[in-house]
Amino acid sequence: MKRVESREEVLTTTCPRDCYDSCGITVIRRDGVVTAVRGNPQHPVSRGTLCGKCSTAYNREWRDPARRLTRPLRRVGRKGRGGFEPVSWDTAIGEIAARLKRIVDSHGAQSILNAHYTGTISALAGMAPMRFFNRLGATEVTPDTICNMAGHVALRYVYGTSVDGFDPRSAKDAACIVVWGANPHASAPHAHEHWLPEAPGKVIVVDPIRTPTAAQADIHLQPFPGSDAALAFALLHVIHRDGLVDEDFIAAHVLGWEEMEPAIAACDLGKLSALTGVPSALIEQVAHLYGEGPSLLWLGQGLQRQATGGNVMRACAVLPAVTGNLCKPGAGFLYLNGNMRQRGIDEEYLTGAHLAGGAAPAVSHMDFAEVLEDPARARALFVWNMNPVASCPQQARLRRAFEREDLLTIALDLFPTDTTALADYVLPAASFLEFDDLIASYFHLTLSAQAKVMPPCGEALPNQEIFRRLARAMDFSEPPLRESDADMLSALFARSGLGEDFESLKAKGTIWIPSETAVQFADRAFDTPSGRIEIASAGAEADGLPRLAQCLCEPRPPAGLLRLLTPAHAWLLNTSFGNVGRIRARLGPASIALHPADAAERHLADGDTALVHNASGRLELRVTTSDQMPRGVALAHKGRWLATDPAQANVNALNPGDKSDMGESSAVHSVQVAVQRASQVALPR
Amino acid sequence: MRRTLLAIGALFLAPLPHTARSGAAAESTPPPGSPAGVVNAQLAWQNWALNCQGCHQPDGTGSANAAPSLAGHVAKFLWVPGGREYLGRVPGVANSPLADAELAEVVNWLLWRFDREDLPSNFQPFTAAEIGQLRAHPLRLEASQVRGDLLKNAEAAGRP
Repeated sequence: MKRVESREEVLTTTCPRDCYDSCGITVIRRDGVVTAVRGNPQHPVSRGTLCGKCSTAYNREWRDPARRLTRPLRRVGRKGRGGFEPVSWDTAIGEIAARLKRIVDSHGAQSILNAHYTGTISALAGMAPMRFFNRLGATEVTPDTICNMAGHVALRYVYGTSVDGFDPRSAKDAACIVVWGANPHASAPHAHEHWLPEAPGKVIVVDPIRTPTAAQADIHLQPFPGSDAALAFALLHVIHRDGLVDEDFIAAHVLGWEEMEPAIAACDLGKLSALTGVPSALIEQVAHLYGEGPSLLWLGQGLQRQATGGNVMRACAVLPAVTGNLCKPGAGFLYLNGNMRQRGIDEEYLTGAHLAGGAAPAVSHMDFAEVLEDPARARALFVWNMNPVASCPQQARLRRAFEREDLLTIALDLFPTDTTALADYVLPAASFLEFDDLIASYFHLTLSAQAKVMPPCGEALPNQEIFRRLARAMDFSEPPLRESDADMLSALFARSGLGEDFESLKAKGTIWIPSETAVQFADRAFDTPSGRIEIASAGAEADGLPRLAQCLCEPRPPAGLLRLLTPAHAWLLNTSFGNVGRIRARLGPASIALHPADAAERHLADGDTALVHNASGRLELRVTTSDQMPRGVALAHKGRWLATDPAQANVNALNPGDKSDMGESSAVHSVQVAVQRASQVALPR
Repeated sequence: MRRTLLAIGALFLAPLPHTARSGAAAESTPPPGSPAGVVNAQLAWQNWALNCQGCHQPDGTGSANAAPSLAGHVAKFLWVPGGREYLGRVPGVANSPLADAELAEVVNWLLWRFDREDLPSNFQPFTAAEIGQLRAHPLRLEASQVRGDLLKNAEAAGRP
């Protein structure tokens, strides 16, 4: 018997999940078949290890044809009953295009909704489909309103940008790093594992929950949710009182400090301590550490998912400005390093912005259910890179809207999801292992290659190819709608001035841009109307907001209610991985964590079932008690799938979709709920 | 609870008009500049954000089944008899935890913020005393009926 030599290849690619890390990946391929997906030992972020959730998923469901969507599907029977039949790509694309044309003729293209977000953050699969929608004139469900828009708006008022944060490499020069309202343990696992512990400076975490990142910090400030702006004012008060204000920096670069200074000086530290729940001594200690600097300030997205989240971000944004913690090594703030152009990715080119015939119609995710249930405003819906039935507010209402028999819904995904179950056509999307693309981390200043390491699963296609086919079937003739992936990648590199092409980047895996540590705002140029940091903003005032950030504290919940926080779980990534068997087993039943005193007050103990309810909905959750959060705060993680839970609902059933004060953005962390023993109440469904 | 976090009940229930102080005929030139009757606009915004925004939404567009839109509507109450009084008696205003003076400033601020085009040029700002008088007689179950009647009158007055 002849022995055949096994041929093993080691390939590199990059993780495209909606995560700060953007890990380098090593793929082992034996005889042309991928056998393992691991962290790249040479990659500066992953260092040879993927996080548990990605490692689990990429080595199981992600490559399992039995679990993936592998053929286009067309609904049969009533919507939501789960009946689908496979059809050819030509049939699916042809039928969808014909129905879209009729809708455009009868109701206008704006009645076609385009819902998408960050199922993948790679450049082509994340942005190129927008060419189709811009050409079509569809209504976009504004992506960032489900996540981080209030912070973007707030920081633009102050600094003129929200996407040009500090270079994480500058941690080596920082005496202090403040992580405020982010939980790297769940949303940036390698930053939690390496970046923060290796930073030479003091690490301060501000979070209502004692997360693992907070627990390993030098100092943990634990404000009651909704009191962050008051805490920022308290810190500013001490900084001002104790002479840590950088007058020279303010004179040169800051507008409006003289308007704000009296309010800062007049703050009563004792009162603010009581309001926030943070001891005065800790506030003073942190104010000194931060003010003396050089200091980095990481403003998390969770921080601004509050009813007054925009004001919170404006208040926090004052800290670097008045302490001069900017424009020098080891100093700066970071929200999201989302400036793709800085990494050589021309977003306007990729999205075909010029194809839109004017300002594209848009609607907030907070209004998604209201619009989708209205046959006059919504005749068709595309969903890609997203699972809104599980991830959007007003869950029951949104689900009913999805069930409209007269709504044409087209969903692209790797897997059957809660959303694809309610679609008319389900189109199988290729995974990141199956096509070439580019990834720019929104934390590290890196550009990485996502390399094709295996053929698509079944008949799956990359998002951008699906929309190229649809454009052709719609008789759209503009060249950008026909441009191949290879041509787009070539054009991006040609425009970038990086001196790279895709093959050279693929060989390197990841490059840093710039190659050496960057200083934030090194040119001391701020893209605001005045060219200065605008603590006082005429633009905000013109938009009906105060000129200055306000010392504001959302009221504690009334008696009997708890403030519900629904952050990311360390084993889920938004709703990604909610279908992964081993992860579901690890998650266990849907649960709610209560402070022991809050639980006792309700005669609840570990393992009991609680009915959690408000005017938006109700949910039965398993109780765990924990002293890791203040009294009055309940914790239930987001991201579970409806179909796999007995309740057929997740925490978004309790989310009314209230908007934050800026950007029509989610205020989900201001939700309040009543929690009772499940047997005590019988509410009408 | 839905929208209870900041909104202690809905602030205003209806889109409509009435006039200056006593129901006199209104004039329709929008007032320029800053809101009349608001000494501290930042405090008014704070009180709005913490007490009203939850139901009425940051842009005043309201929310189905919880609170009607204020944007482009609320000052129209000032154009019909009974409308001004309604603005002080509607349950969300009358039952607000705010003191009379703060509440008067919020009402004046939001009239300007969300519907300054409909503010009569002879609009007299609400005072603390007036708000105190009005909120002492809160509308209850009849509020929606009153609102409906006012809406009809406003439409008849040419400010639909």
